[in-house]
Amino acid sequence: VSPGIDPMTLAVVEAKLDYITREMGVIMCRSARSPIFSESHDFSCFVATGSGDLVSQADGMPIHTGGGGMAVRAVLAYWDGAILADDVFILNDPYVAGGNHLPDWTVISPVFHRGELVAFTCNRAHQIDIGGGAAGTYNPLAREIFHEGLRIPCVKLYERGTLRRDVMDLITVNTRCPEIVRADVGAMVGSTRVGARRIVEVVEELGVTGFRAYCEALLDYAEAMTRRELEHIPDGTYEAVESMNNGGFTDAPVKIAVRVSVRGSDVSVDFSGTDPQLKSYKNSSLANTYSSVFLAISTLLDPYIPHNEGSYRMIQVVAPRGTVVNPDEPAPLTYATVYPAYEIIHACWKALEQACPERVSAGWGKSCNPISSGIDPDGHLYVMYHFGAFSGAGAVKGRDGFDDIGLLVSLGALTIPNLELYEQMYPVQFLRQEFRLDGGGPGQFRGGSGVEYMVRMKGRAHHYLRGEGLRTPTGFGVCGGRAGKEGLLRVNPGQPDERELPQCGIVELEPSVLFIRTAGGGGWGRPADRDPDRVRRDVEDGMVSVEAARREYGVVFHQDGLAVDAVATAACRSAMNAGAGHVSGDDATGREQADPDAACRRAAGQAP
Amino acid sequence: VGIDAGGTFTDLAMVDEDGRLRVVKVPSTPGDPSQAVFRALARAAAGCGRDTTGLLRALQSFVLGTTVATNIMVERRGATVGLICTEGFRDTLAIRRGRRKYMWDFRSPHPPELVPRSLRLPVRERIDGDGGVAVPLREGDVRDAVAAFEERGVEAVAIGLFNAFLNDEHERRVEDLVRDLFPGAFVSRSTDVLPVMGEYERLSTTVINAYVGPRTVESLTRLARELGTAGMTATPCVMQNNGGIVDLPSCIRRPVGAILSGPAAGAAVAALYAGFLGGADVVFLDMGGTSTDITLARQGRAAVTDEIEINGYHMALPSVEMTTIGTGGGTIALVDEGGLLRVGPRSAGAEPGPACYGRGATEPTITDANLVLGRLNAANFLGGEMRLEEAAAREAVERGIARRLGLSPEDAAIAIVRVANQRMANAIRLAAVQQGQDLRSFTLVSAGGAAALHASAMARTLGISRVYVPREAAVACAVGMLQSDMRRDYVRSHLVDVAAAEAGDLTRQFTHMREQARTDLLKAGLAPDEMAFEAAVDLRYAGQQWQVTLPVRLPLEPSDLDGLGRAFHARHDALYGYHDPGGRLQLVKLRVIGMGATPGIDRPAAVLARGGRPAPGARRPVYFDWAGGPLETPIFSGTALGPGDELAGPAIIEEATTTILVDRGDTVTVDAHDNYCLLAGGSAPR
Repeated sequence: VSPGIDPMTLAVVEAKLDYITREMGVIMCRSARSPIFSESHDFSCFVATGSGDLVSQADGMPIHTGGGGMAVRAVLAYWDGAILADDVFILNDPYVAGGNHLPDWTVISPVFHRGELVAFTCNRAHQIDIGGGAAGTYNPLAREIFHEGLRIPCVKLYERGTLRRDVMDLITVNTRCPEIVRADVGAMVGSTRVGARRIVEVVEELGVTGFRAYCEALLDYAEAMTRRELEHIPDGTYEAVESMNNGGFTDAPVKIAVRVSVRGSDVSVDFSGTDPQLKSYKNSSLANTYSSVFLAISTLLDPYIPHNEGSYRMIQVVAPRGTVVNPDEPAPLTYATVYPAYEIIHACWKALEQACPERVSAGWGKSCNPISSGIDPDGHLYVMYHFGAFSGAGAVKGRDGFDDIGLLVSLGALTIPNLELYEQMYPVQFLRQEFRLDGGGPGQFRGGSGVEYMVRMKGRAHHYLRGEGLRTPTGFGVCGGRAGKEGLLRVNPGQPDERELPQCGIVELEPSVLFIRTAGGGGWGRPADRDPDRVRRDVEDGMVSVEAARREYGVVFHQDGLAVDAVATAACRSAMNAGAGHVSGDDATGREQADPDAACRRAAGQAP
Repeated sequence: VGIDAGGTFTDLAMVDEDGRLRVVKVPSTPGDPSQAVFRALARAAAGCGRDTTGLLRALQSFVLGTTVATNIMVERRGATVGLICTEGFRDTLAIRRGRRKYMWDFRSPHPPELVPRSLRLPVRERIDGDGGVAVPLREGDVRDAVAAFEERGVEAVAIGLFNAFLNDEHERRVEDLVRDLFPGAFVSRSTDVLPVMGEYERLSTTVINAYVGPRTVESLTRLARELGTAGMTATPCVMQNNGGIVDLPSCIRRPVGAILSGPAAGAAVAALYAGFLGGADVVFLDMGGTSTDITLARQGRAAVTDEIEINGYHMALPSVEMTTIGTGGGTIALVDEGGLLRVGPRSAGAEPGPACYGRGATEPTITDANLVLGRLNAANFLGGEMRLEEAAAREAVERGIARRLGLSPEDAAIAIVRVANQRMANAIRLAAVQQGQDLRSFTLVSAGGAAALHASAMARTLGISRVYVPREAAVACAVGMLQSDMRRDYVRSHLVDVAAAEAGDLTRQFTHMREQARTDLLKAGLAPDEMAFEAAVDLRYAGQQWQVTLPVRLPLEPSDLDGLGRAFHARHDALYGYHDPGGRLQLVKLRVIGMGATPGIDRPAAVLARGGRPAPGARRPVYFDWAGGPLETPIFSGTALGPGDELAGPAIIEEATTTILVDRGDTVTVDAHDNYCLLAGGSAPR
């Protein structure tokens, strides 16, 4: 704790700021209109200091908030000297306004006390539609940011407390769902205003100087706590590469290269060697690249240390211009908050697996679910996110991967909707939402399996395809764990016109059935080290097949049921260990290197 | 009698024919809760010169709050449950909508499902989104599932089919088959437990019902039998999550309704004291050894929510909206690696308890801090039954906090108390926000043994001016049970745009629900003129997921629907700072509450002998954060104070099972009900 700061008061101030951001989140969740917010919480409330340092982010998603301070600093730079009490700003542009991607609009309220600017309360939220080339904000055909929707620089939505109707109309006339967007922006503004009132109460108690000093102390404290944790990671330079299996318009892999250097508690993350920026929307804005790196590092550390901009001070990001992780205008980048955010996080984990294997996670299976849009029987345009079909998470030491969970970039916090509710909102009928068999990457801790999801689209619909988890495995294994299975996306399974849908692009289909098998997460640690009883339970539960139990885990059952044959299992596992030898971290399939399966069959007394 | 059979103590409150209140506190017997109940009854009987049988024969009402179901959830030792679900939807329970407690906690797994996948057995059937049968039920699949359950030693069967809230015919048929084929099993059907939209929450609630069912039923049935054998003729009633009570046979049909049976009495306590306070809005704070329950009641009524999490599992039955935080007297304080003082979340629990209990604990707790500050009297804890060790408390605070922060033990103790107060105040405020309430007009009702030491400071932080401390603070929930009304909640999903809704159709549905309520209350032994019914609707703007509940009067007239719209816009604006006059309004749920009034406490108010100025019984040094050193402080014994007496802070009032800290500027009056009413002074310490 910094000198001159009372640790007790500091703890109270920290609790108060966290409370304020949570209160803002509650207001947003309860009053917003789009199910993206109310059902799945795809928004984040945060508080920044008067100089634009993010000081509390208790509510919301790390991918939104990690680079949140950049938006506030953009407002400070643009409106230098002209920020007035009761102004409210709105922005989204990643190139000129510190935005992360266009669908995430950021509403920012400056907080004044006796004429002095002391803080900003902010809400960043993913709008249901922002115009552009595709309903629902994701345009897989975009080649420039102009195809992706409305760009908003740092503008005033309210001036001295008065709504600028012209600005509100300008932004809402540019969406396909003006009523929803207008109401949602209203909810965003409401939440930042309540937050601003609460901050003023804190400033009144501490005085302006005191408040500023305690905010600084909070940043310093977060930095100190993070450094203490980082010191446990051995010094060194660790390199890794993670790839996308397509570039959006091509099937050529795209490389995210990273060199992570740890010196004491300082970390440098250098993306030199990363591929040039893409023609498609899978580029990452600088704000998003920072957020992704911070998120990757945060997963390695004690979750209960504070998360604010102080926690990132010791992390230096080098993102060469003109690459996927820092593209030049006007490269499109709407998909950035998911891909390449995943690849950036994955690359950091892969690099650091060499330094601190017990802290890193195996890869999370990438998404396979499209967005669908059409006209409902009442004649309204609907946009439906297939949030019922997330992929499996990677395992970490101590826990299996979640079998079906919200996106990695939300640390799983994006909530999965009730399908009964979706059947009432959209013209669809769900046929299946169940875990898949053998989908999770084998490991001492197993990767998440992913799901099988089948839905009948009752009307003609457009489907915006963005299946990064299709074709090849994406949830890589670490520390001897293996990769989860790749996903699958087909239309009309079992019918004569059954076919696979492309990975990217837009298709328009007559009424049809979509079948998605989502990608599995990777395993952590050697499968042969998994507790045989946990393997038995997975088999009993239909999550792992008897064949995979033997082939992947070396667990053999007695002939007449699901009792583990301890002797045969030990023999099988020792054959695996002898045969497989060292399994490299990167290509963790490892099966080609030997044939332990044959040995296991022998151990089990079966014919090879 | 009202009996609160908690995890640590079993509290009994009894009102006799003259309206006199007696209270008893005995240690609980977790292995067989009825032992402690009988011990408490024996003590109460002895107190009024009877034996247990004599007392039981004379009882007119017996209300039980029980933690049997709660503990099954907390200890995860429920029944082996088999689940029958719709083919294609076997994993709803395990997907659990991806919900986790804390986003940044990347490593904790979900709690294990209450039904393993191998016992979640799908059957072929499907109800469509409009309530029609899309796929007929294959009864053979049900038979196969039941056969598998029997083989696997299943004790309880949960039935949860997709879209069953729209049409329950398949679920009912499955239930008939299960009862027929598997007569020994406890059966829990989703459309019986909670017929609302949202497959995850409905199913999770249904499964919890099955999981706690067999053991809860066994325990309650045994207690009822023993009470009957011992002479009781009154029908025992059980406190429910919704803050009301039901007769024991009804509780046995749906034991998940008693999963918050103990703390839900807070709602009734709040109502009782709100009555004493002339109908004030109250925030009820029940601070015990390991945790604090917070309940808000407006106009004598606690809010009811459909979102409850219990030990990681989700339940959506209407329940008293209550916030529980892990701050209690036994909460441990420490200095973290970054040099910051933290209070909680770990607790010393009842065993070994705080350092000052002298049972070997060395980490400082909130109770230790209060003892170091002279606020607690080492010789007068739990009515003097337990002597606290001051030296141990001091040593713990010194070693754990003071030395590491370079403070004196007293300053360290003050810091511990302030952080704890801030945590509790934050939780109260967040609870208020979630319910859209402005706390400044509320009265803080302080209950549980530990709260009254903190209530004055918290009131100031929250901008609350009045604190109410009942003499029976430490057994307040048992008192609340005496005061509870019979209450049954009925909820049904009904999705329609308000513009398209027909008053006649809604009235028909409401009437049906009310008849169900009437039948259930009749079965519980109520006479028709003792019953009251309320109806309400949940509304929202199309697209919102949160709804606002508004009362309606039956029968509904078409013009009532317009009035509802206006009321909704106004309420929305008050809660969330804006409304949308052009927004499309949706009706989401219909609610009926059936209530039966119980006699309750009719304690005569005393005639106030105004302006009594009692003299303190003693003085001792007490530390306050504003004093900069020990202050010789007047100590009053509660037994010496009576209605009309007044005193001013700084002072301490010692009751048998609670201690009240009266801070500088505070004044305390003993009111006509013989309880303490504290007005918090102006200057707010942070």
